[in-house]
Amino acid sequence: MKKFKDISELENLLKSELNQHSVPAPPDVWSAVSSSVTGNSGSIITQFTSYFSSFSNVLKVVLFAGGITAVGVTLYNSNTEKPTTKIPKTTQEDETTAIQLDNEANPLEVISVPEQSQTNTSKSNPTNSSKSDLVTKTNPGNEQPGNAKVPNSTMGANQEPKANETPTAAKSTSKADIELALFASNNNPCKGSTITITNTRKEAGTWMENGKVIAKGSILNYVCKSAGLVNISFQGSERLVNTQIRILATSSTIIESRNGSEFTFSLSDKHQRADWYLDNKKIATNSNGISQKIELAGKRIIKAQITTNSCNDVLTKEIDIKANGSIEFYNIITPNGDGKNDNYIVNIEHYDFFFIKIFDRDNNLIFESQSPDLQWDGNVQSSGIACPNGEYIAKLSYKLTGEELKQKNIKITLIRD
Amino acid sequence: MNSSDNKDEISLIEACIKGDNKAQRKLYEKHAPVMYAICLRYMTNEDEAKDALQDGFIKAFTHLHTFRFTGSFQGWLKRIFVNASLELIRKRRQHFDVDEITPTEDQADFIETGTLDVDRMMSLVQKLPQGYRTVFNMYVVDGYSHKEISEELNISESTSKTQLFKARKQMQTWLKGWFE
Repeated sequence: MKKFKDISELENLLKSELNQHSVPAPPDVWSAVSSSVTGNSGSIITQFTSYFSSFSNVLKVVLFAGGITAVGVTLYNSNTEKPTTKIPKTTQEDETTAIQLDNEANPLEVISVPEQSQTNTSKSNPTNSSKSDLVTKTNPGNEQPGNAKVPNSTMGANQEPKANETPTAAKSTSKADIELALFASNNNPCKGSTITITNTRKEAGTWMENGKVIAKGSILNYVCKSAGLVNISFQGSERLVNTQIRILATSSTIIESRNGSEFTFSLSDKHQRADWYLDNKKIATNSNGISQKIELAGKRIIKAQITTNSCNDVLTKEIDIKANGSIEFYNIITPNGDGKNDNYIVNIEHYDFFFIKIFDRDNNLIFESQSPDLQWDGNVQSSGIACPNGEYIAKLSYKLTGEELKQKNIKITLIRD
Repeated sequence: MNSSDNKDEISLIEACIKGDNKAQRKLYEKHAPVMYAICLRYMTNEDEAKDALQDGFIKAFTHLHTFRFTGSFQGWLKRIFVNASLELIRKRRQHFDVDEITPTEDQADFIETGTLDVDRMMSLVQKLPQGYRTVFNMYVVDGYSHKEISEELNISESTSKTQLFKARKQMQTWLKGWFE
């Protein structure tokens, strides 16, 4: 077995092997890409129309116009031809009646022109054309091939079919040629999310969920209510097609165990990640669980934000900590061996912390203890010499479970008979 | 790539720009396997990788006319797919939480014997926690600089370096027996 000298040797191997590594692509991706690309040729034109406001831009687009001619649309600059005939809406657009998607803030003017009629296209408001990202991309010479970063706004647009799409003008891909199929924006959505399902022909029809009619139109906006498999079918003009959506969910419960004020919270199922919050304050990230000291009494909320397969869920658990501690002090010690008050006793129950120090009147430390069971017997702790009758001061620090730390000074009278 | 291959590719790209569906399919079939492997390296599971592959191709086809024919077409495509993957990660996770996740012990899988073939390398990379993996992929395999990574992921350069350091350490732990 060959050994690596150092990490960079391993990395060089990884780079050379993984760089050209190939894995057969899943079979159904092409149909989704294909339908999306042909379906979107209209929106490319749309974005170009907004670009025509400047005459100089037209020159830049001429190169591309060749491509557009191929899809049966000819564009001219508004400055060169009169009059302007606007065809504001396309028939296709009207088909998307049932549910419309989130329309973008600035609906672009969409004008589709029949091939022969050399009418004019567009006059678009330059201030409206926020889609200028694409414009820069079309500018020849500006694009660095190694730096192919695609603008965000257009990326999203590709995945979600827009209500203002123009009909596919391409002759080669008329409706009849496209096989009717369904295309979901996400086949494995998380519970609670909304996905968009379109049909490759962009035709209107009836949408059904597990056989029940839920909407009409060409696009379905589907809210993933519950986890599991859902059958979505679409009755088009000619036939019925189905698709299956698996709605993912993360579910778990918080399991609590307690040892005094030390709580342990774990999750009933395994998750990739869990962020833990106590009273909305983040305390840890641990997919297995957490241990947490919770000392103050009252109702507290433990929250776990869990992630599995990129789905999120928030679990909460309320715990109620009762303050059940108690303390009793005395103010006398009679170290005479009669079995009563021979030691200085503090009765304390359910506490997290206890500390007692006893001083004489001259403020000399006589005794100290961190346990209520180690009690002052009336002698100086360090030497064992009996303390004389008189007054002593006990300084107590203690914390009862569920309560704050407290301090108390108690005057003690020592009486030897 | 020799010049006739290159010529073929250029005419294929041109046909795709014109909207030739057959050409698009050909281009897809030619490049999908390598691009899918990229998506698999970046995404957490096959479903997500599939989504990234789909997004990437849609982007590639809608922006094909911006390719200037001056550099490698595959290189141009690769950037698109890395970006598509990052975009999807960002969208699904809201943010890159590069700092918080640390690999747990049970994820450790020491490979002491056998061959370190490409499938094993893939699974090693895929096993890295998301934050490390993104940086490791970008820096080690796809040749991004820390500066580029910091810009793409909106993190600082030093975070990028830290993540890479952690990823390297993790790799070394997993491949303990493979070092001299």
